Amino acid sequence: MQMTPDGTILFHLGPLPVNATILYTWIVMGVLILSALLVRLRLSDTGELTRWQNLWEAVVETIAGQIREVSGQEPGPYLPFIGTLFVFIALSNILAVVPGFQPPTGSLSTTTALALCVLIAVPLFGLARRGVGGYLRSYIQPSPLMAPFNVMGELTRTLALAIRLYGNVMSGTVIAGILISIAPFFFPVLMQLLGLLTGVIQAYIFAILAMVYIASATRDRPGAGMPKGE
Amino acid sequence: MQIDWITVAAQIVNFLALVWILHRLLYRPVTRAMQRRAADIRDRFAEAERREALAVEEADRLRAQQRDVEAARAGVLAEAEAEAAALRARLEEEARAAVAARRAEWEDQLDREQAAFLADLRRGTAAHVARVARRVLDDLAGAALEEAVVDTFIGRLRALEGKPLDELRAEAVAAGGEMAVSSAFDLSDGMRARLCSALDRVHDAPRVGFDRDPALVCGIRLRIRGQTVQWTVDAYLDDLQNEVAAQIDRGARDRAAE
Repeated sequence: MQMTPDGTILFHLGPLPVNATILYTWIVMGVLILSALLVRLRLSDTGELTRWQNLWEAVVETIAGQIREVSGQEPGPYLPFIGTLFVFIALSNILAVVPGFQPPTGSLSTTTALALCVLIAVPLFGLARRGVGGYLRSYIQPSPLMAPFNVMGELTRTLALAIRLYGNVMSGTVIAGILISIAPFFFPVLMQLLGLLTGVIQAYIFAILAMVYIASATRDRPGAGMPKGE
Repeated sequence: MQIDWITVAAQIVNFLALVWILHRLLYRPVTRAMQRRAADIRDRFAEAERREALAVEEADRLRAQQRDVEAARAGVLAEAEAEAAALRARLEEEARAAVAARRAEWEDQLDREQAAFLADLRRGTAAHVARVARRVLDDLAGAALEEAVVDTFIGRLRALEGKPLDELRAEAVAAGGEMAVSSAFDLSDGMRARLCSALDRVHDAPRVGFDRDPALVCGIRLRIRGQTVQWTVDAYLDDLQNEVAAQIDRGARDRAAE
């Protein structure tokens, strides 16, 4: 069983090999950009809205509301990053129901890339909002002795973020593969439908956790935005 | 579970490119469109609230105006009712006055007609009584009516006693015996002689002047300065007149009661 689409090299773009992960990522990006273009070309301020604009306005408004709720800040600076995380992961997971489509989030490389983006974005947002001194002070809170643990926590939560998404998506794929070998006609369909739900939930969790990390870095009191149980 | 770092790098690039593209194509335009729509909705709400406030203000103004109009109407109505009442009272007063005037005029006319009727009745009755008396006297005594009248008058003169006779004599003395006898008919010489003889009781040397007065209904009157002695049918006619007048009044009251 092929565990990850990274190993499927489809063609080479110059010296760079293009594997299935990258190709399906481009497909997801293409769908998103195409729908964004449809919205952009027929954008309406007033009057009747197109279905695409209605859909995207609902998505954007929901994400902005979640950001506002989690961070207690205006969602403007975080919306592109958090929103793109959510819609990319969600669409990747949703497209898994298309036969032959391998979600790029099922690749540890993809989830690692996304987690690294979060890892980099957290200090960038923190520095942009609180300044260098203010952000670095958060690492010696509540005591300078905690600085190594804070740094370690920063790295491990990024790792956990990557592994969680990869594990969930990959587990769905693995379970589907196992069920196909056992009962090939009925259970895979149910698992795929369940995968729609878990895929969206995973996208929501990934985006919300990223926002929580960013919020903890941009708030004056570290850890204020951390949800209970995290 | 392995990580292909080339794929990781490519995915980071893909993701950042996607963030940038969606930010340019999607998030910023959609967010701005929603903000513009929200601003437009806020403006509409503000405009609606402003118009509502204007409508409320206008409604209040119209209600106040309506109250003023109703108050003015009530005032005009009350004034008109007062004027109507005053006019009705004045017209009623004028009507009563007119009716009273008409009634007074009618009563005056009725009184005049009654007086004229009574005068005519008295004259007619007197004439009738005179005719009846004349005929009775002719039938019973064969004497002329004038003779009977003169005899009656002489009888009355002779019947005078006491104070009336004294006052009459005093007047005759004061007049120097001059006195006037008026009659409704011409007196014969015999009648005049008998009268003069009867007047001797009043004055020793009476100087009697005779004349005729048709107003004395079948009667004779003696006047000595302010004193008068007369016999006429007037007394009887007055009784008859009073009786007839009483009958007329009673008939008028009965008609009014009906």
